[in-house]
Amino acid sequence: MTAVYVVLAVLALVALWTVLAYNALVKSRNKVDEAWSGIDVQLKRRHDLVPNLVESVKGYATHERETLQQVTVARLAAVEAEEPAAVERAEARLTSALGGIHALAEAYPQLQASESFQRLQAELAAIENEIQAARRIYNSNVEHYNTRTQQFPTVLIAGSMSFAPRDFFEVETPAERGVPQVAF
Amino acid sequence: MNADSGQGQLFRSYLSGRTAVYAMALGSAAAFTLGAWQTDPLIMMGGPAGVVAVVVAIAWFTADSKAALNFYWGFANSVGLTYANSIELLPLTPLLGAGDRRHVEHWIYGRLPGGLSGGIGQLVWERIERGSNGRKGVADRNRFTICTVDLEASLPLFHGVFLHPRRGLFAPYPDWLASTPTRTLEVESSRFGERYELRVATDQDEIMLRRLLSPTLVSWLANHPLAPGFELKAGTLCAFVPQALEDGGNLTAMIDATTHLAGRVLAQVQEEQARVA
Repeated sequence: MTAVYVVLAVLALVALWTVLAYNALVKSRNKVDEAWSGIDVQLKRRHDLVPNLVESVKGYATHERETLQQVTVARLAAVEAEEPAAVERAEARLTSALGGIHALAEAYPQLQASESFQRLQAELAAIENEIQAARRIYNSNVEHYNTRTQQFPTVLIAGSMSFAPRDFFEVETPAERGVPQVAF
Repeated sequence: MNADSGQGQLFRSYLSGRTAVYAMALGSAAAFTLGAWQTDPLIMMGGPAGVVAVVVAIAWFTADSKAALNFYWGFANSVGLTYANSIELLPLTPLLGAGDRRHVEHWIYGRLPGGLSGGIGQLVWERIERGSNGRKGVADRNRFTICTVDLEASLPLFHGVFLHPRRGLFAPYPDWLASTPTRTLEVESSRFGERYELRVATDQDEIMLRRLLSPTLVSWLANHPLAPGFELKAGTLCAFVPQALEDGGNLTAMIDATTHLAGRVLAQVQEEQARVA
C-alpha cells in the first residue's frame, strides 16, 4: 500500500511540474508576441511619419523625384510586410531609403534649415531610438524563450507541445552591419 | 571614497587621545579599587578589562559616525548640494511613509543636475510590533537609499506609479505597499518582469503609464546596474534601492538615475500638454 502512495505522490509531483513548466513556456511565448507588438507600434509610428517627411522635402528638392519615390515604395513595402522575416527586410530597405533623404538635406541648405524638416528629423530619430529599444526587448525575450525551450527538462514539454524556437529580429542595413574601419 | 574612508585613522586618533587614555586609566583604577573593597578578585581583574572594552567600543562607534559624516559632507560639497544630518520627510509616496517610524540619515539636498529640486539620503524605516511579553518593540529595521525630486507638473497625470524590485519568496524587507490599494501591470520585457514588479494606483490612467514606459525607458531600467525602483505620487518622484549606498560612485549613479527618470516624466508631461493644446 505504501508503494502505491509513493507512486501516486510522484505522479502528482510530475503532473504539477508539467503544468507549471507548460504555463511558464506559454507566458514566455506571450512575452515574445507582446514584445513583437511593441516593435510593430514603433514601426507604425515611423511609417506614419514618412509621408510628412517626404512632403516637407518635396517643397525644397523638386528635382529629387527618384529618391522620394524610393522612400515611398520602401514605406509601402514596409507597411504591407507581415511576417517577421519580411518585416526585417522591408524595414532595412526603408532605413536605407531614409538615408537618401538625410543625404539630400546636405545638398539643400534651405531644406536643412527648414524648421518643420528639423522637427520631423528629430521625431524620426526619437522613433528610431524607440525601435532599437523595442528590438532589444524583443530579442531579449526571444533569447529567454528559446533558452527555456532548449533547457532540460522543459525541452521535453516544448518538443511535444510545439513550442517552436523564434528568430531574432534585426533591422540593420548592410552598411550598419559592416565593421567600422579605424585608422590610426 | 566611501562612508568608511578614514575610519581606521580616526579610531586610532581617538584611542590615543587624552580623553580615552584618562577614561581607561581612571576607570580601570576605580574598577580595581571597587574589586579590592569588595574583596572580589573577579572585579579586580575583569573590571579594568571591561572599562577598556567600553572605551574602545565608544571610540570605534564615534570614529565610524565621524567618518560617515565627513564622507557625506564632502560628497555634498563635491556635487554642489547641502548636507543635513538627519531629517524626517513628508510621507508623499508609500515608501516615504513606510513602517511605523522613519527618518532619513545623511540627507543631501538642493538643485540636482538638470535644475530639479530634490535630495538623496538613507531612509531608515522600522515596524513596531507588540511582543509575546506585551511590550512594543522594533520588529524590523530597513535601510534604503532614496533620491527624491519635486515633480509637481506630473500631479495631474500620475496618481500613483510604484515600480519595485521583485521581492521573491524570501524578501529581506516587508512589503510596505501591502495596505495600499493597487493593481499589478505587466510590461512586455521578460528581463524587466524578472527584475521588477509594477503596481499602480487604482485611479491611474494606464495609457499614460504605457506612454511613460516607452521601450527605451523599459530597456534602460531592465539593464541599469543599480536596478533602481521608483514611486511617483503626489508630484514627487522617489527613486530607491533597497540597500544603503555608501560610496561616491554609487551615490552619483543614483542621482543620475533619478534625474534621468525625472527627465522622462517631465518629457511625457510636456508631450501631453502639447497634445491637449
